[in-house]
Amino acid sequence: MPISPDKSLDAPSSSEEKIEDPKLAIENGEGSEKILVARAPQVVGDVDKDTKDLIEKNSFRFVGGDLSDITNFKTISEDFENKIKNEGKLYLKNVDVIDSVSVTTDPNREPSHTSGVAPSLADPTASESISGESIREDINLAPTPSALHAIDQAEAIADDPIINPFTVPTSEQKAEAQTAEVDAKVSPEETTEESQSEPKSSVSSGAYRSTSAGEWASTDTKAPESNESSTSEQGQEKSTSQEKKKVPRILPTPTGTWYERLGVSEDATPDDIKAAHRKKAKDYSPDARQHLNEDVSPEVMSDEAGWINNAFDEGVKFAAKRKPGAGTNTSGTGGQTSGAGGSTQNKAPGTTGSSTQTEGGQEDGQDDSSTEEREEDENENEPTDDSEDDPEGDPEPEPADPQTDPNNPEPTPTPDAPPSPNQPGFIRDPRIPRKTQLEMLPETGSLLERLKNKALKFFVDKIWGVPARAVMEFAEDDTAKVLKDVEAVKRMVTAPGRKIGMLLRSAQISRQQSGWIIKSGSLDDLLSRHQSFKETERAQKEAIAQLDAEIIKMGEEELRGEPWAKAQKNSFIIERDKLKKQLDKTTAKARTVRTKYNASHDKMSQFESRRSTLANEVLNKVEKNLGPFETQIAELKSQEAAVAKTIEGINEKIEAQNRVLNEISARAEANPYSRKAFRGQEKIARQLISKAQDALEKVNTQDYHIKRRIQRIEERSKPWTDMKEKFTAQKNQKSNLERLEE
Amino acid sequence: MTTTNTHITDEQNIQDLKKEMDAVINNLNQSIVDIADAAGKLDAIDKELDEADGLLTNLYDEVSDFEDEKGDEIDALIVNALVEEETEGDK
Repeated sequence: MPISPDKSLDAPSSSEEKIEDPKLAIENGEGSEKILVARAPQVVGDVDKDTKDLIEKNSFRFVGGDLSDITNFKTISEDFENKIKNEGKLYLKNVDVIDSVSVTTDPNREPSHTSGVAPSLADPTASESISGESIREDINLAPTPSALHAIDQAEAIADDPIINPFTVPTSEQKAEAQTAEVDAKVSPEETTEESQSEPKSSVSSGAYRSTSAGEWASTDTKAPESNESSTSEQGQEKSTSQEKKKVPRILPTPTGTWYERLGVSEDATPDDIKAAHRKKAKDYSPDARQHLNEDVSPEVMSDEAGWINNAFDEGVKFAAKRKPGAGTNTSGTGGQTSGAGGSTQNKAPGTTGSSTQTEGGQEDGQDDSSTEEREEDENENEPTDDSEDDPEGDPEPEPADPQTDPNNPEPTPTPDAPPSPNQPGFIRDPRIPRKTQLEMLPETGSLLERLKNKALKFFVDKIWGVPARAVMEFAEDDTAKVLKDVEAVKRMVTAPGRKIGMLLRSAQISRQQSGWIIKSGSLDDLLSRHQSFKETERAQKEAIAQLDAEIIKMGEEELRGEPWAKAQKNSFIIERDKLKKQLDKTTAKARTVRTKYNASHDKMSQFESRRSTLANEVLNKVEKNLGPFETQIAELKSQEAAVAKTIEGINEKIEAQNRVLNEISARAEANPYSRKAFRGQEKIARQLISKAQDALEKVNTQDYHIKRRIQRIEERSKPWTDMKEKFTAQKNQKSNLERLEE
Repeated sequence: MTTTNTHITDEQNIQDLKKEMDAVINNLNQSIVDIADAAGKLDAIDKELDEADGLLTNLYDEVSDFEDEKGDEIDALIVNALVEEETEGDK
């Protein structure tokens, strides 16, 4: 039966003027009660300022058998409760109803979900009378003793993980839940009678809220005790059957721009985006939705999770593009960028939906290509999975925040701003400051740490683990030695000398390549061209000299009066001048080529010299330490071999003495007198043999360890030894320039 | 007489056995001393191995410092040299 606020609320006329038109008529079945979980109420009426502030700053729950006669309520604050009791009737408006459940007192009646409330939260367009998820009610409250039971129920909702996702039910709460279910079987008459003295009712709604409230009933000491045992099984059966009833839709579809989907402002910082994404991912996780008992297909879940993830990616990109601290200019740019992003975003759901559809096989609906951040979110959801899979398990409750503790007599008002209207379905518990809630989340800064740990684990398992295990096998059970060797091998693996060696190997390759370059036309070509020019120059000079000689000869002939001599002489002169010009050109070319050659030669020589110097420096350092090391190791090996030989000799000696002793013993056995006479000596000798053998065993063990240690140290020095040998050989090799010049 | 002679022989045997047994005991005592000596030598070797280990550690440190100081230079030299040679070759 829809209840209009005019009918349901006995508000004074002065208050009615202030009350806005109610936008929702909440159905209320006959014989049932409703539990409304409300927040951000506004007090209308003749109430003192303190009470008004107290109410408006606190979230509260109230219950009524009929909304027109809501007399039961529960606040988080006892102070507030007392205030309400003292003040009498109060009128509230603008009650932001988070959710409601039916509380039926008739066991034969199938409880109905308050379809006027919860579904409206899911679908803002379902009814014109509903404005978003905010349902405004004007409620006349007057506390009565029968409110106490409803208080219990409402308190249970306060522990609802959806309203307060950080709340984990305790085992006591579960036990109380059973008690609450038992009460579902109590007849209305009984309930009415008993409620006078000991308020009782039961939550038996098919909706998730009632189930949740039943399961996590409050541990309030006012809870009934008498009916606990008799009807517990029936209550459980009913509760189970009610759990199967699905709610069409509770969470709103995350649509719009990325910041709308995440419920943040456009200029949100990366941290805010991260936190909002974490929150959304938690809210829209399949587990949370299962809690809500939503009748939503896995595909839709997957799509919506994908949209939220996409919103996060876009938000992060957008925040990264935004210049930090750019002032008004930045905001202007941000606005432009945002516009572009918004247009892109409008297409995002469809696009993302299709991409997510391809990965619909994932149970959790998370994008496979999601970032580590999303993985983290998934991991956060895992404990919820566990708790769902194992209802009998006793999950460890999170440390209680003083402000979330229902027993806390004075909950501090939320210092944060109230939930933004841009956040559809925002269900953060208003009692807990946002900062506190974030602190209750797993540490966001642990991503890098986790990545580091992953990398470290990979390194240890795949790379480092193999030599480490080998070393451990060598060292057997000698833990100290193992640790020392692990450190040694670790140093060897990460030794900077490896880089030096790599660089020097690169130098070697470079050297080979430079040799190839020389042969293939660089310095070699320049040199051969220079030599060619020089030969040409020499030839031209010779030709010029010959022409000079001819010219002189023709001059002499001319003086003798030969008529042809002058013409011939002039011809030679022309040819000589021509050759001189060619010679000048050849000389200039030869000089140019020589200059180029010299420059290249100098650079290459400089490079090779420097490279050689560096290689020599490394080699000197290696030799400086490796030389004494090798000497010392050789000496120690020699000493060890000598000791080992001595030990072997001692061992043979003891064995020989043992044989002698046995022989003496055999001889003494033949004569009872002698046997008696040396029995004492034999005992001493046997003890000495035993002592010597023990000592020998210890020394052998010691020697074994020393041998192993020498071996390991030699292995550790092997890279250095190899480097030394390789580069010593290279050092002694002629450089390319030397070979070229030869 | 025979009994006396037998007794003398037995006494002699016993004395011989006692002497041999003393020798065995002395040898064993000496062996124990030798073993202790060998153990001492092995201890000394173990300590010297620490020194050898230290030499390798010094090598590690020196080359590490060298790498810090010259590693980039070596790298640059290799790259630059190749570039320069190729450039010169093109001329």
